[in-house]
Amino acid sequence: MKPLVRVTKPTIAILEAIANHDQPIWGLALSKQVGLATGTVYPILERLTELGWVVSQWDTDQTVKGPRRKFYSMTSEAREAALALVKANVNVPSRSTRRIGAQQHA
Amino acid sequence: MLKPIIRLASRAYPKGAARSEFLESTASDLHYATELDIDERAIERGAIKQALSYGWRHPRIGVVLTIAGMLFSVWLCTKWVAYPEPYAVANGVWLALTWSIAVLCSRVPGSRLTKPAILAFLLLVVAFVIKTSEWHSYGIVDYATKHAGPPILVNVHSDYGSFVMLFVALSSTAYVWACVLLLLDRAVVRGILALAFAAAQVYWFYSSTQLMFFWELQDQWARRLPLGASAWVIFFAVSAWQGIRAKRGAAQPQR
Repeated sequence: MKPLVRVTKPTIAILEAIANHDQPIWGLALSKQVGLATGTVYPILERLTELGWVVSQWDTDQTVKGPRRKFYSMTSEAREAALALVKANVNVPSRSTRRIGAQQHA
Repeated sequence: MLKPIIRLASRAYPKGAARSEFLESTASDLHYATELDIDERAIERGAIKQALSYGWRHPRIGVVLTIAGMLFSVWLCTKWVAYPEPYAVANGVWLALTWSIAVLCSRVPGSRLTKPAILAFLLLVVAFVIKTSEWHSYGIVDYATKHAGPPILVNVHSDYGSFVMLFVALSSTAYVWACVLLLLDRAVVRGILALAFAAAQVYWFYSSTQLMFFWELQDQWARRLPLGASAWVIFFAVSAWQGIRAKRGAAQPQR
């Protein structure tokens, strides 16, 4: 898992939403939950997947009719780091979060 | 059925698994959109933005964008503006550098300078377009062709000249914005350098838009160009160094 260099507010919101979900969360449902457009959510998810914070997998449920859906989840290691990042974000002004993010995972 | 524009946007992804996955994921979201009470158009817009965001970060696209922007800058200042040539070339080089910094900033991990740099570039383009309008309105191009002598450049005190300087100043303000962002991130050295660009740009254009003759202008290049160019080069070098450091840090395994 690689550290996040730039931690924006939408990134924090997405990390928080995935970390607080016990089950993998569907991309579209995640977009709805955090109240951000898919055009914002998916590029962040791509970046988080690339850095190893988030794992994506296609739906394997055969009972659901319609096209496959893509689900996102976190490893326990990433969940811990994400929750720490969310907590730090609550306690400090938003501009400082990117430095905190970088320090925490250095 | 996916719209042709989404299929076109999907070309930002490399052919193969990545592109297929994007198309399948978008088709799936469109299918389930009504179930979650989400507008289909929002999904389509999102998909286009997602593809553009991916494409923008792609190294090959970065090279294409840089070259295209530089060619456009040189074309704008030399072919469209047309005269006087050496002065136009210098402006073209300046504009090309401004564009390069915008593209490179977007490649530096954690950089927040992309928007200010693009804004600075666009405002400078507007300044050049106004400047060209003035040249044509005063018949400077015709004058130069007929007399084969040095024409008078834009008078900063004229209406057009004021607008030119306004946009140059606004463009420089974008670098001041960059400076503020950098200082907020405690990147003092880069912040000061961003401020140096703003100053160098204003200095370059103010001195070149005053009422002066071509040979006088040519004489002053030696003083102006190294000042501006060295500020850009130092900024590039420091930004690149910071980017490489950040990337190296990112590559290290987490404890």
